Amino acid sequence: MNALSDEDVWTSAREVVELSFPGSVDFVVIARFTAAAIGARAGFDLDDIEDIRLAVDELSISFGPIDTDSCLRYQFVRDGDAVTVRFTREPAAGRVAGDKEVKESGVTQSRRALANWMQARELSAVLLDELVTSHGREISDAGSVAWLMKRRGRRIR
Amino acid sequence: MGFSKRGISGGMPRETRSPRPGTPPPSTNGCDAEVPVLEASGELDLAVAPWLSDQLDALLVGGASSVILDLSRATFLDSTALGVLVGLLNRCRTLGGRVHLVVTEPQILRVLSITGLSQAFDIHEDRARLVAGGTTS
Repeated sequence: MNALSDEDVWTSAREVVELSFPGSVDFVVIARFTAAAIGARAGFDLDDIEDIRLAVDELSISFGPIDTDSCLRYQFVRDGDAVTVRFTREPAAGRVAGDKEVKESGVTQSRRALANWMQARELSAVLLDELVTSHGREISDAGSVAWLMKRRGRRIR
Repeated sequence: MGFSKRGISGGMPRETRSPRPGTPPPSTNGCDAEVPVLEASGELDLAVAPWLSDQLDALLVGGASSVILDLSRATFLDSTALGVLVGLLNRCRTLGGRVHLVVTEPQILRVLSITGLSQAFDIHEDRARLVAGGTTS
């Protein structure tokens, strides 16, 4: 971690980091890493950094299992002591967002796996409510967008 | 952070495989308890959840109704991995068994607390003490 003072970091200019990945769960770890770095630059303490790492992970599954033929885009914006993350999952050509087909690595998942995902979705919503200041999502034919915003020092529990 | 930290090792004498290249090989659980033990280390996220589910399925196929899941070396737990654990919990309860989690990582305890699952699982700080206590059935 660098040695910038709190004031140096929190009052510096707005920063934007953008990432783009092929649809694969393997890349989400990079989004978590980026969230931690941006959070640190917003003056988050270690607990808040852990929270935003988890929140970005949860954001990544806002639209169900990650399709291997989708494209994942993340935009991280630090503005003062607030971090905003926008996650976009764009369908590949010929497919539309919100497709009901559930696939992972080209193989239709079992009923039990689907049940686990449904369970995870409920848990994810509960976690996001607690981890960030606000969050939401939009689904359209143009793609699926989920976002969150977290301010420094708002941890409740 | 790194893939090499991820790993899951089963405590039952069955075939296992690594979810990631470079993951340490499975180890035995080091105890003679009848309740099977699965050790999961590193970051348990959406990339690892399907593999975790497979490993837990394998334990139950062996006839167990209760499971010890040792997360003492796990550093991260997201909703997909937690969903797998809830699925396990439901199955074990149906069989009249329990799910014992060994957890020391504060962030994982926080995830369990936020989701209201702290009371649903039997949570322990020390696996050796859990097994020695004989309260796992």
